[in-house]
Amino acid sequence: MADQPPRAAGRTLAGFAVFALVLLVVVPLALASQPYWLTVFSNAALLALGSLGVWLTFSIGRINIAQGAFTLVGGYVTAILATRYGISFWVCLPLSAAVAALVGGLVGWPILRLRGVYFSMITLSLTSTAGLLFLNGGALTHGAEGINNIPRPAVLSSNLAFYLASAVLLLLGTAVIWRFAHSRLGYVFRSMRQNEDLAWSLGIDVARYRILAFVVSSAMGGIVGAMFAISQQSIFPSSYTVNDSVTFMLYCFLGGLDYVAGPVFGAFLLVIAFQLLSAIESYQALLYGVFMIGCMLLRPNGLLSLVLAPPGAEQSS
Amino acid sequence: MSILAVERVTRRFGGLVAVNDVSLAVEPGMIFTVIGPNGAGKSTLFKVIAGFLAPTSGTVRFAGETISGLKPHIIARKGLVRTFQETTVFKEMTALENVVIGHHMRARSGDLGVLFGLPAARAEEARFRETAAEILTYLGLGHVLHERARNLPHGYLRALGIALALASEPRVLLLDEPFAGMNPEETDQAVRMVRGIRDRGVTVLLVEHDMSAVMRISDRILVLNFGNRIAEGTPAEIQSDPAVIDAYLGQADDMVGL
Repeated sequence: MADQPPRAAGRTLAGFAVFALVLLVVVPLALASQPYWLTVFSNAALLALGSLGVWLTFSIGRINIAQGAFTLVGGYVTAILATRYGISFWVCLPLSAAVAALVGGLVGWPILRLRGVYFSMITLSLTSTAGLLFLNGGALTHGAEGINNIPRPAVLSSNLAFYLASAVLLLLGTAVIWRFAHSRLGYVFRSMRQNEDLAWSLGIDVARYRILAFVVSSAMGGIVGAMFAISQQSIFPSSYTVNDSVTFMLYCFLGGLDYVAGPVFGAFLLVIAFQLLSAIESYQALLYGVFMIGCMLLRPNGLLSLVLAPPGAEQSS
Repeated sequence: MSILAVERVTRRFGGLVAVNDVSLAVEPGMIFTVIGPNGAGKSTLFKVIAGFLAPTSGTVRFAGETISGLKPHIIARKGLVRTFQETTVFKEMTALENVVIGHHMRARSGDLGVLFGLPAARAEEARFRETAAEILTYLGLGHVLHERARNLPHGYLRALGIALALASEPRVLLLDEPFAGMNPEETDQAVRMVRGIRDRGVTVLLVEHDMSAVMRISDRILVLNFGNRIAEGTPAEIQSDPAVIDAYLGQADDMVGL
């Protein structure tokens, strides 16, 4: 007796395999001689990874507009450790995730008690606060000048290598979030979104699980920040603003909150669409806006709801 | 020893005394009911017992241990589990998923085991699904396991709410108005269901409005009015108690079940 029918589980696995094949084989083969587009795809993969974290906080019923703050934290951790202490990026990367997770845990503990728009407003202001903190970080962060000349590890010096690293991270992140969503933890998370009081009454430690979700989300933000830091080789307090936090959230909305693939789909679609629209530069933002509004009106459950049934309803009549 | 004891509990909201110096003792295997007119303080008392509100003074003991002031999930883990008024379930999940969540607090495998799908966690997960299906079948929901809760009719949702609570293997089940809004036929079914739960060895404390159902089902009844305890006894004693009749004066006779 499986709640997810075996066939559906098989389909998911097949879907993941196809996704991995496209990311790791098709895209590199198609774009090997186009460094610009490789960079676009790297960006899309990393932004998708950050959105996956935001998606996890959505799954517990919190609209998280703070991911920009955690990418900033991750970026600065890598920047400071690499430039001041010459620490290898492969140590910086997990440390960025760990510090972002720690900050997420400390900040999340008080603010996750808030719900709805109150939580969103606080997370929104967190992004600005993070920027201000790094602006006033003195010798450690070099204020508005930021930190430059962040070394990029030799292995990742080519666009292709950097893209592949981003793609692998995205695949790992997707697998982790997929496990969250489809194990009993995912049920627990969704139960908290639907009715926290009922979840408490069934013995679920709601406070602990909502911090878990936020910490995982923040760690993913930290990883994204670290990757962008070595790709840009510089970081500033204004590298990630409220706009970026909102965009992370929008990718989730666009793809669909019911699906793990939602934020990934949303991120790739919007990042690539934005590049294609750049030919008509002056109308780029306008078209982008109209497109988003259209999606919200016509497919409020996300674009993936066009092709996928809502989860949990596979066997219903 | 009583399994659940409320000792001189008072709960104030500002100047309002919602529950005033109320005590009660529930023996194992009993169906104990708290009744009272609207605003009598039943729901407040219920929330205090389940840990959703802290008492202003007094204590709640479960199997001899003081539980007042503990968080609801801790109290639930000790075996005192509540249901909610109306049809509070996880509406966007299937019936089976709902009941699997109810099992969560009995899980032995840790979060990491569940996350990585370790064999022990998987086996436990499969067992949960099995017992969830069993409980649902027992409560007459065997044919809608994979239906989303929001698509289920009202009466089913009530049963699902109880299935959720039963899945957590409570020693005492707190039922909040399980018969509210039911027609006589549905009430009969629900009465049988509550008796069935008691016969499985679960002590039941219920807060209820529907007098006729209460008189049929309860071993013992406590009557509240304006936060005060005005009577306690067997259904027969309650029905002939002048203070109770007084409190319900002006209400239709069938409300009181006289």
